[in-house]
Amino acid sequence: MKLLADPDVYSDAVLDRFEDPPGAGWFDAPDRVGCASSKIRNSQVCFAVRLDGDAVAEARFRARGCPHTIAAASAASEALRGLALEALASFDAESIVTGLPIPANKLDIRILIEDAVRAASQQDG
Amino acid sequence: MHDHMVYMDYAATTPVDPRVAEAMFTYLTPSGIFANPASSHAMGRAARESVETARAEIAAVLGCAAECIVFTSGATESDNLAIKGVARGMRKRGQHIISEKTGHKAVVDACKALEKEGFEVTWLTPDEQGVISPQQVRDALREDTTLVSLLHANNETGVVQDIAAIGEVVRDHGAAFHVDAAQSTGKLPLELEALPVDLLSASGHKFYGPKGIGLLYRRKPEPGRRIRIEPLQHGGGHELGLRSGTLATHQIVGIGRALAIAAEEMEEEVPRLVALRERLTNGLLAVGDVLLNGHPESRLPTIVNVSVAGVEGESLQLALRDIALSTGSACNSASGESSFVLRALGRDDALAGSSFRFSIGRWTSEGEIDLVVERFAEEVRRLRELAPAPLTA
Repeated sequence: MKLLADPDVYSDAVLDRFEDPPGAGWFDAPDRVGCASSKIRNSQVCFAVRLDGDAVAEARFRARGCPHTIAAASAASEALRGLALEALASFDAESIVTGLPIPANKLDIRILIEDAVRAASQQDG
Repeated sequence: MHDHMVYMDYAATTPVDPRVAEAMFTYLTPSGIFANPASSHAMGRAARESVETARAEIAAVLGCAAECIVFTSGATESDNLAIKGVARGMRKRGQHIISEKTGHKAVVDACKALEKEGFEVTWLTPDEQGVISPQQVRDALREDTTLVSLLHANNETGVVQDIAAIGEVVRDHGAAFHVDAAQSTGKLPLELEALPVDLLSASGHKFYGPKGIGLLYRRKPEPGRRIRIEPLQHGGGHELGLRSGTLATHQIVGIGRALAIAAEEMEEEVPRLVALRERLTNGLLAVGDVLLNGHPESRLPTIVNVSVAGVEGESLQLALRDIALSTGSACNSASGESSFVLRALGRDDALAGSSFRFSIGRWTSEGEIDLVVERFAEEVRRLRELAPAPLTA
């Protein structure tokens, strides 16, 4: 199946996370939740965060969007683990964008991910 | 790799029927009939005879005289020749054209090019089922209208227009009526002498012929009704001066054979395809929150277009990459816009962007339909489960 995807558009990392995304799902009683959406891309990303004291114990996500959006949300859910709650407000998704990578015509996905994480820093679950 | 894929993109193009390929081969090699059909020697005459036999075969299928068929490189060229040719040729009579927002790019862009030359185009919008009524055309006709150009069957939704009724309206007015029949030729019966259609475009590769060959039907002049076409390319005066360029004998033989086979098999093939289309439509809609785009009955036997609520188009396309199909998704399109055809039908950007065209054909089997429905259901379910709740369409 991997062979059938255009390698110029979808890296192995994007495909792996799209097919079987680590971090996908939700908690019954999350400590924090945050969502962001993009009407133009018909996408929405939400994070659920479970805290251990003032740090993120675990994060999960739900996403509707293009494969890169789903892959970025998956990568972000893993990157959040261990971060201080106050660090979420200034979460920087640049390394996720370059690591997957996300193509130049979709760099707004970075803002979507950062907005959703920022929202999670402010909203109780 | 191709062994793992199911081909559901017959509306984009079809494979060449092996019977057609075999017929074409005779016209390519040194031992075959390869000479220039315009040459006066015996080998040239043999090639010319083959071209004229194919022309007559096509004319017989389409119900018109052989001299009404002009060979082109495909429907895009035929559309350009018909639209630009008639508009420019009839310029003295008027500069108003009527077309549709949901036309194929070849029709829309040819009309837009004329707008830049000073022509005025009225763009008709179909109703929510994709249908353009004769009354809409009647209302749009003006004294200075010289041409009406519409699709017979829409290439995205498969919706079939009532060209007989629309043609009567255009005929009463006196303008020329051009129909792009790229999707319907070889799938729906056409009796052109009996239809009030002046020009009709078709492409060989949509009905199991080769790519790179098409035709333009041009009605014979009638008393008091002469449609002047200005050619687009000059040199040699082939095809009654309408389309200069050495005739591609093998391609012409190919399109002739392909259309003859399509006509011979239509009586059996169309009911088979309709049954497959219904099986596919019912299977896709049974997944839930899947909407059929276009008129439920007045459509081709070969196209099913659906919008899937609650999922994003590019993701579903990637998830279904073992199926060759077309999507209205905008994610990677140069324009950044989802299907203009579906938006014209009133679908919002999200539903237009999550639209999928499944198009079936000669080698589609019931087993493939069932496999596609199963894979579609599986991936829609997975992507919806991944999405935030509640679903927003």
